[in-house]
Amino acid sequence: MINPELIMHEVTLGNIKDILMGWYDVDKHHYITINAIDSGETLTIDWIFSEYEVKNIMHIFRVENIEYKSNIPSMMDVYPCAWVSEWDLADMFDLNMENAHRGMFLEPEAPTGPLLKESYSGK
Amino acid sequence: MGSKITVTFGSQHIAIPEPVSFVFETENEIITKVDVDVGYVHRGIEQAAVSKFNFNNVQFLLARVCGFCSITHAGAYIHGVEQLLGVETTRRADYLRLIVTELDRMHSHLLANGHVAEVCGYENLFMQVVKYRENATEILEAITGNRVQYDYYQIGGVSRDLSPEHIKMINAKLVELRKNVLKMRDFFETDYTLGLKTRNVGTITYDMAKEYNTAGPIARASGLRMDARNEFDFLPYGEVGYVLQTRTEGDVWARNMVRFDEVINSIDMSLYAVNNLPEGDIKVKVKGKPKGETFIRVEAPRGECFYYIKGNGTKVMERVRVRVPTYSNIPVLRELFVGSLYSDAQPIVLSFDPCLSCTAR
Repeated sequence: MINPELIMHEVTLGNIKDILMGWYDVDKHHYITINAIDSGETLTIDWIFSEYEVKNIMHIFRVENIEYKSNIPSMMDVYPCAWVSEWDLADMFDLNMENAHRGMFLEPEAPTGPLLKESYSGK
Repeated sequence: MGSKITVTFGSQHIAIPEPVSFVFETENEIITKVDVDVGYVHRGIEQAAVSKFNFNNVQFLLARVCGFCSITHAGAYIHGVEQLLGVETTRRADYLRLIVTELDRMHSHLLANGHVAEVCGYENLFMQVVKYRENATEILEAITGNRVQYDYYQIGGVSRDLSPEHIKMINAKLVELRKNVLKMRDFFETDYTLGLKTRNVGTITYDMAKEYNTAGPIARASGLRMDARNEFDFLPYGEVGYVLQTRTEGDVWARNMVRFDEVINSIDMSLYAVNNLPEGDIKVKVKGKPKGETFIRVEAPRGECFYYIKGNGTKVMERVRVRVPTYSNIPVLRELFVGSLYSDAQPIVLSFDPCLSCTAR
């Protein structure tokens, strides 16, 4: 059974970009992805990292209780590869993601935010 | 004054079996700008995983994210569910999982290198690679029942054990495959004409690999020591002779070489595992429904595959997030095209071994 050590970093939407700008070390940290979880009332968003050649460690920068139409900052200034995961999440959760181009993962006629609970829970 | 031409590459292109679209702006055949669209095969798998299936059937859905890395998708999910349920699998099951995961890597890597040869004009070499690759797919068929898309992982273990006849057959086929892979590796390494299309083409520097968070053989061919098998204890790689393979050249040629070296290492690990299989059951009983969240990394053939899984104590999962290696490698691919010759676009794309089914999910 795998037991990863999860290092949780408490952040807010207001300070996440500044905190990542100071913390992220390109020689040490590997950006994995950004993830969102819909509770049905608010969103939680995680920015997820590992460390090169360090066993079973992941860093999670978590913002909880995000209102659905909040503005989410892009991290492309911190690590330029952020755009694919940010555009994906913008499509899937109908997010106001900074600089996100909509429609890369979903066709124009597809329902918006298919991973929002209201889109599949019947509520 | 150069001639400026816009060239579309895909969404259906003869070089790539899956749909992806690149729109290149070129000047005197040098690519100056790239637009990319990777979402042609979005199937709503993450949504289906939390709305249409019970948690103990989701692995069958996830195995269909991609035919080639089906074992790593199902495996990542099952490792996560087992962690949430507190399930400790037997060492025999872990070894069997490792053997199938590495067989999957062998046939995926060989096909990827074969595709590069094909777009460089070596169609006969492609067929030869695919012929040798049959050894890996035949073993997979004997163990799991399928040549691709195998549902071998189960929550608590695996679906089938190996018989003495299986072990004998696997030994014979892997020894033969190893001999043939070394022969092919030598050709890919030294052939002058193939080298014209692969050496110093599509070069990713070490700094670029880090800056763009590349994954898998793409990262390792640029010297980035990044492999989930080395960083995350999802299977007993430390016991079977795993060796991290890297090169420093960063070009199409280096990516081919890393794949060949990884195939050799996968064969050696599988031979060790199959001949040193621990005694014990292949599956343990599992009770309960997953509650809580977990973060899982496994190494798919194309690189790191990440899963986030959240259960709420009911039979349906709360959230399943899939992040695949091609998804991670798209940004560097887009950057890499700029400044490359349009005629090199095919070997560059194929050397990335892109999987659009995985990326779009």
